Amino acid sequence: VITLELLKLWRSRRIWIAVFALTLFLALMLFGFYTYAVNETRGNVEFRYTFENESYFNGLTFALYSFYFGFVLLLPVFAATEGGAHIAGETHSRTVQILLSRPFSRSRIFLSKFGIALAYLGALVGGFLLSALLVGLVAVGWGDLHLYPGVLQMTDRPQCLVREVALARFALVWPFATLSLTVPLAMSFLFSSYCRSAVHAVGLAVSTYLVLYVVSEIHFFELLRPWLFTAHSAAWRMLFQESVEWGVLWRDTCKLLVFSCGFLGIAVHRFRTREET
Amino acid sequence: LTVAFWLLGYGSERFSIETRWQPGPRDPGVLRLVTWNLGSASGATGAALRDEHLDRIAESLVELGPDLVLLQELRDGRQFGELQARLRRQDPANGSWSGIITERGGRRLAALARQGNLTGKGRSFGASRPLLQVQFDHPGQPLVSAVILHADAFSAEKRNQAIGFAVDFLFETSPGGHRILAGDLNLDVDVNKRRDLFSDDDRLDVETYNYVALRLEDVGSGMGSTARPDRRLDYLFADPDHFESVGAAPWPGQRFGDMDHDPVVADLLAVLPPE
Repeated sequence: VITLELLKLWRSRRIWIAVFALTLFLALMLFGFYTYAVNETRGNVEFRYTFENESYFNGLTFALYSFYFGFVLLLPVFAATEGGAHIAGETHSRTVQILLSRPFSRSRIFLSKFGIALAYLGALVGGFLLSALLVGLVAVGWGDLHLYPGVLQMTDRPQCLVREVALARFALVWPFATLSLTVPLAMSFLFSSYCRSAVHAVGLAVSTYLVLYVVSEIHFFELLRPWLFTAHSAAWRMLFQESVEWGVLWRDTCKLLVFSCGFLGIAVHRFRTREET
Repeated sequence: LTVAFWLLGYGSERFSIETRWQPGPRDPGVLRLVTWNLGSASGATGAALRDEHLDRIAESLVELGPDLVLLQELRDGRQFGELQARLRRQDPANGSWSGIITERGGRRLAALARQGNLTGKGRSFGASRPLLQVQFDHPGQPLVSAVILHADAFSAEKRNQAIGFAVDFLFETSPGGHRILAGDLNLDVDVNKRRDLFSDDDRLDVETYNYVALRLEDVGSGMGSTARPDRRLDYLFADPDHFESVGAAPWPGQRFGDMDHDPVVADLLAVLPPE
């Protein structure tokens, strides 16, 4: 089943669409970052009292900005697409019935698909992170990573990570960010197990993610935010503090896994018990 | 697995113990400072301190026992005098409660010293609200230079100018000093939530905050909101080379009536700068 799923993923256009979108995103980020840095550090500032300077804008800052925005706005969309393609898409094209006729349990088929999708997302996250760092190195140049309160909401006090430490933290971001994406992925598998059209499943998963993301960003919903997975998705940002609060990071990761396991459990149950027509 | 992760994620949070610093008894030699916006949220743009709150505010200050009090939003000199009279009446044994207040405007800045000598005056620049600069000479302590301000609530640009000017002014006028910058800065750079709902230029507020934070230590950082609705607007910055923070945090439960700010209290140990 895994070999078959890998083959299907390789032959699908989803990989190339994701690569194209992320490449375009990085190119536009690079252009925007460069023009912003030039404006802010060569005397074209709009205001007098500023902390930004030329040493602040370096390849590591570029990589962090790019990855952060890509993580909250792009990667979850790719995660939401996977569920639609794997279950609802195959239900619509009836290829899932061919799979079900083989001597494998439904749970095994479902979890194999989920595993392949997760591995694909992990590769996408790693590739994106690596590309952002390489583009930053080549096009902007490396230095230390300076972080300031308010910027990307990473820290509550001015901090500096030397280059080697910052790179180690980027490496740690990979597993944590991938783990965060299991939630929209599991959610998309859940919707996909109920829908018989990939378009509906993907549309539902993407719009639900966006609704939850927007609501979790709104300040007034103090009581609601802890119960939305999107409020904890970017917990990996804590890795960029000089002193990482591991307890808080693991706690937020556990909260994300509550949603992943919950969505996945319901989805597996639905897939095992539903009738194919 | 869902239940297990629930217990580890949400359950551990529920059973964790609150460890936020609270003002209590302090060692001799530790300076206690408090900044407090005494105004209220009533009306379109809020209002200055109401006379009916004077007794309760005096009670809170006497209970806290601060060495230096940095206030915002007093209505006028008469009201300030009444606050001083109440403080002296409630705390006859310990405090002289000497004070200074800015001379103009309907929402004034003021400083009070329970003991020791307080000097200073208001400073104006441009069209923005004035600052209050004070020198606090406390027995057994080095001279403390403080600037109090109340930045504009509606314009990030005016906040940038006022706060930036206050920082530069503090460093220019107290070159060797134990510096404090305090007040209602009307900006919030919280890590966990969007801030642009209350600002006309979120990015500029970030610039402004960091202009201060790179020079002075935000001693109450990470201690939660200071004003309604769940916003951190009141700050106490101290020179990290001359002060060691023993503890600092908002002191909740002291708002009366329609007041919308908590006092922010800091216990600081004055130290000699590193060689």
